[in-house]
Amino acid sequence: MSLKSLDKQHAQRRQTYRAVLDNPFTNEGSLWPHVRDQQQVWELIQTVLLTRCRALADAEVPASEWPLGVTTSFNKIISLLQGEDSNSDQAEEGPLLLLVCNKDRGVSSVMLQQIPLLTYMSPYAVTLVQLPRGALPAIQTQLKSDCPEGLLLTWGGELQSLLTQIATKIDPPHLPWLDHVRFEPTALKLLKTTAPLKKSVEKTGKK
Amino acid sequence: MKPMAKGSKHVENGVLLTPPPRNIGNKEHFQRINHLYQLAVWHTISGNDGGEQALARLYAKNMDSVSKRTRAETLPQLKRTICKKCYRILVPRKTMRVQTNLGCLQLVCSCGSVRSFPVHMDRGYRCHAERDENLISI
Repeated sequence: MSLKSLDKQHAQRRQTYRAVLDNPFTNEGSLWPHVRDQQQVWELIQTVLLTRCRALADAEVPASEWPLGVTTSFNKIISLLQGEDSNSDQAEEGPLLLLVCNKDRGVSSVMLQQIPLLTYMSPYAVTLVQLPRGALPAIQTQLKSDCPEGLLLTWGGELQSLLTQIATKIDPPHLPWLDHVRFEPTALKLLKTTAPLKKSVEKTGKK
Repeated sequence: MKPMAKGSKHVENGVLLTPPPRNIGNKEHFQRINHLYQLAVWHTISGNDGGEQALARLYAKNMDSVSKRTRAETLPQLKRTICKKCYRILVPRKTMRVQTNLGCLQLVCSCGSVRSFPVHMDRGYRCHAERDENLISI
């Protein structure tokens, strides 16, 4: 037995629990709209949307000539959702569909925290869909782009049929605190931490 | 992982494991903070407070003072929704703008202060309090 493993058996710190207050409104469970039959929705998106994008990318059609708009740039997505992009009327061409890979690793949690709120506050009708684990590499392959934020926003009249099929399987976004605030009970949680076992050495000379 | 029995002691990686406490002391401080936060949100959302959101900011500042004074901590997810400079509740399209700049996520408050999160350094990073294994619901 090595010295390191022996050292691990000898306790140097103890586990402690600190009470912390969670956000009463925006817990992860209620932020994202629930998707029923997620696998079917994902297959539908792959066959209708992603294969089409792949075919257009393979044919080297310029992005401006695509029949549907696609973007993975975070800043562009945000400006479209916030209605800041007044020069382009992309968002008015048809419904918006926002695909989010929130279950994949490598997607920032701070960034994801903003998305449901932005979608809800958007002046346009945005359908937010959370994708299953492993969707991010598939999107990267099909679009031939990095898609670093794990977000894909599409718009255009051609999406209408896809959206009507998806809409029955996705719950509408539910953020009641943005419309009518009602008092929520205190959401207390315990945070696991550690503290040293040994007491601090008293100052010398103090009697 | 099995729940630990009361009085049982187990050492793992040099840490003496103990069961979680059944009660939490000073619950009223957390309740006060929770109430102040919800008041601040309500005044921000309802918009009956004018563009300056003076009352909402007052509640949020009071909440921060109570939290610091009583050492009643809040999770980072909650703290990220409050501007550190003017104590506005950050709601997109109302009091905040979101953007990325050189890979950093920036939350720009309507007071002008910018909060940067360098997400490009490690995209999968989650702080200690954000990891599910470190949080226990009561």
